[in-house]
Amino acid sequence: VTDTAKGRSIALIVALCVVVAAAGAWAWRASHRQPPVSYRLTEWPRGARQPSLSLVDVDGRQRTLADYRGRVVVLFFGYLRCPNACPAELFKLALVMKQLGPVRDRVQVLFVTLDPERDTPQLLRSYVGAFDSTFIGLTGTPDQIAKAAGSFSVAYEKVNLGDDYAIDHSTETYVLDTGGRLRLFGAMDETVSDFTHDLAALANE
Amino acid sequence: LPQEPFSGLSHVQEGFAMKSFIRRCLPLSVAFLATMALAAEPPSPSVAVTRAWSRATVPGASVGAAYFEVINSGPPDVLLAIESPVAKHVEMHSMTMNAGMMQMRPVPSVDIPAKGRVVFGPEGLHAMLVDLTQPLHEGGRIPLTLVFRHAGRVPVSAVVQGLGAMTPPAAEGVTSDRHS
Repeated sequence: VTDTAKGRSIALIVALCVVVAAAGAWAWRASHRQPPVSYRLTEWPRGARQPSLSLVDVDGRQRTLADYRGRVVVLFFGYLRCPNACPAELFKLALVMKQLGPVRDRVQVLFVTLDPERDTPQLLRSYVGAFDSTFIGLTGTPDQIAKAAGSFSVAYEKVNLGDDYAIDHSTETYVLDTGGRLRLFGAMDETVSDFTHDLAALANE
Repeated sequence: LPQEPFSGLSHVQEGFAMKSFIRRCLPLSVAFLATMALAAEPPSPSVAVTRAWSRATVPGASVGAAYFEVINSGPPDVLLAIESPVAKHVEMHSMTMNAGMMQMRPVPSVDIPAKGRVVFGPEGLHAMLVDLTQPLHEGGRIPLTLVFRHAGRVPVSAVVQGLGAMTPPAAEGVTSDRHS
């Protein structure tokens, strides 16, 4: 009777050891496997047409997306006489930069004006720089801006209002990876933490 | 006998005339006096403007925005204009999303329904401060005067909140409760 009991105990201990070892191995493997990142912004369809732009920075230099390779590029189209959406989005992106910590060095925010007539390079520089000193403003001829906007599927329209005008525009923010490929786009109501999460993931790819 | 009333014709006519005068003019007089009495009092404060706020602007920004709530405890009114010394002019704008595009359009006036409330906020109707005469600094206050068709000019002071503010400041009652 005693021998049988002893045998049972040993079998139980051996079984427990096997279970613990198996669980440990599984946990080790799980922690070392790279799970696919689930992005919080909307993914640009893989294989879909890739956008391009040829614009001018506030110092008058010609700029294309190739100039920002190696960094995650965050692109927003707007104009300075926009009282709500544009400052709100730029402010959000400035908070995202703070949240990113050291990763921010691999992220570049670009603001493209849709109103080159009124948004002079000087105004553009002081405007975007006030949100974050690393933000870059881009402008160009109306034709260059129309091409860039069209390439990103940005909809905008100048609307005459007596002696003034307004610019209707879509409000998505576009995110390109370090290789210059458009990967994600976000809406105005996507939060600071959504953007921080996705930009960090792309910067660490 | 039927002739008798006509015997003192002028007297009877006078009587009729007096009665007719009183009948016609008394209500008018009462109405006139009532109007005078009402006019002598200040206009009834049926329109109140509350929770006014604005947002700090960055250098280079020529426009700002202001928001508030109009609470009307009286008959229908119309908000005709807004004035502020910090901007060359103030426009009332609507903001709508149409086919994925954000659209801003000036609105000439805003109806304030009887016993109703109209909210100006970042996602709809807003006051646009056009051609700012000075940048708006967080923590400051800017004067606004709302001009109503019936309630007249209603001054209000708007709190300038931070660059990214999208909601009104905490209600004053709440703030003081928190501090007590």
